[in-house]
Order: sequence, then C-alpha cells, then structure tokens
Amino acid sequence: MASLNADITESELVKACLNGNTKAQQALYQKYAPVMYAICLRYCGSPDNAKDMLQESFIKLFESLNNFRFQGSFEGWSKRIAVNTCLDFIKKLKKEPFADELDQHVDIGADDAVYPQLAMKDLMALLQSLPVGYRTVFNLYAIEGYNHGQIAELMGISENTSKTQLFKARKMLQIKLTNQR
Amino acid sequence: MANEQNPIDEIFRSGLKDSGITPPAGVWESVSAGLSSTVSKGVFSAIFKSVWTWVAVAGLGITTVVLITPAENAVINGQPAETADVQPPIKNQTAEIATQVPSEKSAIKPELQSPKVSKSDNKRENESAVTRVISGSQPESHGVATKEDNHAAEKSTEKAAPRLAIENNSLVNTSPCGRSLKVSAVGNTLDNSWTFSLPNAPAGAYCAWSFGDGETGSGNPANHVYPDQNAEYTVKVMVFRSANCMDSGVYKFMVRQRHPGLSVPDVFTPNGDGINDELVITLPEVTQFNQIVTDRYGKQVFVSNDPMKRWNGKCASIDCAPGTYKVFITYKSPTAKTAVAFSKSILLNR
Repeated sequence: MASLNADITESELVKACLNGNTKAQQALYQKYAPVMYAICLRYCGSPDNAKDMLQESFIKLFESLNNFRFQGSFEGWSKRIAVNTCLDFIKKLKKEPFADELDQHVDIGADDAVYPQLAMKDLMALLQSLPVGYRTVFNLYAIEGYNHGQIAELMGISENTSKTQLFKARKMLQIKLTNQR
Repeated sequence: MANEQNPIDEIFRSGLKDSGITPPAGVWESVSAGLSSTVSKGVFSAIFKSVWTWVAVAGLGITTVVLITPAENAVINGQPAETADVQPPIKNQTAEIATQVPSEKSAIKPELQSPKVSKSDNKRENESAVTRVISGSQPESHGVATKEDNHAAEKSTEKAAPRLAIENNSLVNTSPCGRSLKVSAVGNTLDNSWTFSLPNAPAGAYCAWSFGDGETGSGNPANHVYPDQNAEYTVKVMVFRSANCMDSGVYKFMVRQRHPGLSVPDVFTPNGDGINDELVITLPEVTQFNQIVTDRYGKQVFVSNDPMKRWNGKCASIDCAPGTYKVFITYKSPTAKTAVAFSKSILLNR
C-alpha cells in the first residue's frame, strides 16, 4: 500500500482510502475534519449535536467515497456532505423550523454602521444563538452562497420563507453585533 | 458569490466560511470503529443485487459447505451416520469441488496437529479429498474448507461431498478483474470463531465481508465469531483489486456441531412459579464440565463447574433483567480425548 507522505495529493489519498488503507482514512479525517466540524457547529448550534453530525458526515463520506468522481475539489464535496447531513438533522429535529412566514418583510435599509471585529469563536457563538430556521437559511445563503430558490428546494420551504428568515436572521445578528460593541 | 452583498453576511462569511475548528477527541475513534462495517455495507448494498442477478443468470447453484467437528463426530459420536450432515442441501449443482485442497491445507494449517480419525471417518476419507480435509485430518476443534472457482468446478464430477464454492465475478469492470477467488475457512468450535481468508487475493486488496449473520468485516484474513452453532450462514465477499476493479463471491457456510445428549432450553422463566425456575441443562455423561452464562454484553452472570448446579436467573443475588443471555458450556465425555464447547443464546423471561 502507498505510504502516506505529507505531500500526498487529494486524489491519491482518496484512492488509498478506497483501497481500505486505514492510515489513509485517518489522514483524510484529520485533513477535513476541522472544516467539516466548523460547518456542523454553524448549523447545529450545540457542540454535542455538531460532534454527532461530524461523525455521521464522515461515515457517509466513507460510505459514498466510491461515488466521488475525482472531478472538482474533494474538499467541496466533503463540505457538501457535512452541510447535507446537518440539513437532514435539522429537518428531522423540527418538523417546521421555518414556520413564522407571516411576519412583515421590512427592509432594514442601508447600513453603514461599523461593526466590531470579532474573532471566529464569537461569530460562531452569535450564529449558534440564532433560532434554528434563521440560522439554517443564513448559513446557506450568506456563507455557503446558495440562492433563495436553491434553499427553498433544499429545505422544502417557499422562497418567500427563505427570504423572510434570512432577513430576520440578519436583523437579529445586527442587533447582537451592535450589542457587542 | 452571486448573492447580494450585505455587510452582515460579509462579516460572517469572511469570518467563518473556510474556518476550521479542531473537532473534539473521540470522533475519529467512533468513525473508524464503524468504518469497516459501514464501508462494506454501503458497497455491499450497491453490488449484491448484481451478484445475485449474475448468479441467477448464470444458472449456478450456490454451493454449500458443511463444516463438522471431527472430534465430535469421530470420538463422541463415532457413527458413520454423520454422512447426512455432510451432504450439501442444494442439489443439481453444476459447480465446484475444491481441487486444490492439499496445497490449501498445508498453507493454512501449519499449527494443526496430527489428526484424530475414527474408523468411520477413515472410511469417508477415501471418498474424496475434500472430505478428508474437512473432517478427517483436523484436530478436535478445527474445521477447514477450501474451494475453487466455478471454472475448475465445472470440470469436476458431481459428488456428494462437503463443498464450498464461491462464485466469482467482475461487476464493475470486466477487464482485469475476472480472476478466481479461493476461500478458506478455519474454525474454532470452542468459541465459534472463524477465520476466513482469500489465499489468492492480491496483497493489499481491500476485502469486504458479509458474514451472513448481519455482521460485516474487512481484511484478509477476516475473523468472525458466529452467535450460534448449528446454523447456516451465507458469507459474501468482495475483493477490490483497485478503485474500479472488483471480484466478489457468495457462498453458504454451515456451522454445525453435534452434541448428542446435550440440550439447553431456549427459554426459561425464573419467576418463582415452580416451573422452569432454573436453567436446566441436560447433559450426557461427562467427566469435565464448565458452564458460563453471560449477558448480551459479555458480562458473566453465572459460572459453575458442577453439572448439578443450575442458574436461577440471578445476577449477583438480584433478579437479572429479562432478555437474551448466552450460555457457554465446555464438557468432556468419558470417551472423548478432549473437551468440546457448546454455546447457545437463551431467553430469560419472567
């Protein structure tokens, strides 16, 4: 079996994993776990849930490794697995995380306030403090870069709901950020 | 990003998008513990349908091997009537009979001692090489079987002998993979643990096993402990020669032991009603006896060397919870040279 050098390429690592090389599997874990764990923390709120989701994501990842086509980045692929695992968890967790659609859609208007520079840890804490629906849409839209149509499809909600949730999430985060000053 | 720019979004996006956070300890351990089984499960589910289809299309019967324990048959039973056990239950087969048994035997059994063979076994030994290997030449607690793939098999005569065959196929990629697989199984009936190996699989190839009792494993050789004796299991194996090149095989495998005179109930009910309050084990005449009862996590709840001492369903003087328990019995008949083992899952009900 291939020895594991520090400069082993992504695809070599994946192939070694496919061959059942346990060292390669562990190396793959060590390489991608931090990024995937950060995703799980962003979506799941609590570290406990995030830990479970990380574990589940990796089990899924290894399970479906033979579906990886070696086109595009493996990191992107593994991140999508983490995001989708978390979304499944959120959908299961709460039947209707996006229920309050009826509220008014109010524009907060131009914003040229200066926000404090926050460490990643604090940003994460703020994000985790959001209600699950807000947090999910905000994550998908603002951080992952999905549009409202894609979010609606992913989560089984309407585009309008997605927009409302995003708006509320931003507003809540804005207030929290302001309070941090 | 195609989405509109928003300062709040930007703060979080730039702060969090590519960040990594060291995950808590223990996750990798959990992942890797589940890895061999989940990996093989995933792969198995994708491929086994095709295996079965292929088997059906090719019109090949799945052969069966019966692994018996010579010590028991020869020494305890000493009766030629065992032949019935040796017959494969599936007839009209076109495949198999291990043709490379002798080399196989020497390859996998360096640790084995000289055989103990009764007259009845000697007789059977003349019937076929396979029989000889499987039941004649092994020490008390080992069964060995080998097999050859179906190409060699088709040339063989049909003979009522223990057979272990493995269908081999290349499903993902037809080019370099259609090589034959050979399987050997070595069992230890004392703890019902079996070692399966694929002597002609390439070194380093990932071998995924499904042991037929719901458990999966990987490696070559692969070890597995079966929960029950006297049961038939369908073992499946896949050998990944490279990322897109795989061989797979399916065979039936029978763990069978004879324990004449020994009987352990399936259920017992220690509820104080005077019926079935103790675990009554019926024994043949024994000179040595050991009984261990464990809960399903393997914790011992009862140990005894006295055949007359029976378990009353207590775990350290408290009533054990209803559920499945496992009884392990080791005993030696006056006529046997060595002790033999038996295990069975029982249900405690109140």
